[in-house]
Amino acid sequence: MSENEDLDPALLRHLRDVPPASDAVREAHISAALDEISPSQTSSGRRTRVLGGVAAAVMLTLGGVTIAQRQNENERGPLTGTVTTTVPKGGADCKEELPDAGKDTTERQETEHNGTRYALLFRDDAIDVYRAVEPCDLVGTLSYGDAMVERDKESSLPNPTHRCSYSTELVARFKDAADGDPYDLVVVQTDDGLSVEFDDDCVSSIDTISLP
Amino acid sequence: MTHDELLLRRAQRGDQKAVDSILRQHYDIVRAVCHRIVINSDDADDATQMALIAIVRALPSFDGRSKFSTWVYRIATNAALDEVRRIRRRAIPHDEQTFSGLPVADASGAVDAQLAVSAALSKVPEEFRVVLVLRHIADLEYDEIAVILDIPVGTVRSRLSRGRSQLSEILGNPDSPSERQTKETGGPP
Repeated sequence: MSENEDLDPALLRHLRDVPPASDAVREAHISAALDEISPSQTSSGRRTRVLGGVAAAVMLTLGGVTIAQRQNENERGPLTGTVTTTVPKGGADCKEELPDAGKDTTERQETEHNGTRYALLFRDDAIDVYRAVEPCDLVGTLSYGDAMVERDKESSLPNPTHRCSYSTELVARFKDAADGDPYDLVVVQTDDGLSVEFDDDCVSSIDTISLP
Repeated sequence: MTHDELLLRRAQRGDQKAVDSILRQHYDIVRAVCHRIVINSDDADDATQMALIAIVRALPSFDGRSKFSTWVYRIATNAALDEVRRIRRRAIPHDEQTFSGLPVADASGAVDAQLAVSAALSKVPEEFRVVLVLRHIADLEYDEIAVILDIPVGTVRSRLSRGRSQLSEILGNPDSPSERQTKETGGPP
């Protein structure tokens, strides 16, 4: 960038120093843009995304326990199941210590197990689970990328109409894809931790972790 | 396939999580480009919003012939220029519309300086200002700017040179009408 030498460094610094947008403005901008592919709410449907967009993520973080209906992202119409998310009031104590949600991680969710809060950070093909209170450490990772690739190879197509029911607590529902169509996935609580599963496969778990 | 390429591919297929991630990756620079071209804060936020919406709408048609970031800057630049044209149509007196919404001076003077640069930038003709922004804020090379603005590289070079000269002149000459305007508008008495 030698050409920048023609511009006074202080001037260049001030030129680049655009005051950052407030979180509210940023989230509103991104949420409105995302509505272009999937309206977050309609006046008639009152549909709300779960782990599908910013507005829902903010609501989940700030609004405490929420019951929401997930919206189908591929215009197949809203799914019928409801999701109860466990979000303790007050937010994560480790918010600053956890990895930046704006880069590798696109969504954040919280759950509680044996009285301890955990933050689930969703990234490509995996979910990192951190303690949401001190010492804010990484407890484990739920990986599902390979499972999607295997299903792609087997031509085991996602079945959007088939949903499992869960006897344990459903922590989150989300979509992700390898190279083919996106799969519906869930994170559920188990007796000793968390499990990630295909939402149309009511038999097996893709990956599990134990929580302390 | 790199992580970014995979993310883009998923976004183009309508994966909302991937689109969200891409918007967040580029939000600050899109906003900075809009703010430095449009100047007025509220209008620049409108331009930012329109740019993000345009990016989402056009994602499926991105063909990879240019770098993705260049494509994003092109959309941001067009959204900002559209907003500038809308402002002109509103026919609000220049000083009133240009500086509303900018921060007031603080004790450190940092905001004063930032305000002065904003005011000076607003005095630089639009065609030069856009090139300045794409070069010095978006860090684009001349040929990338040429592609975005659909002008020859030589024109980019000359506009950049003249834009730099004008900006420095406005900021460096306290007796110039432009500088007096800057002080009258942005600073305390």
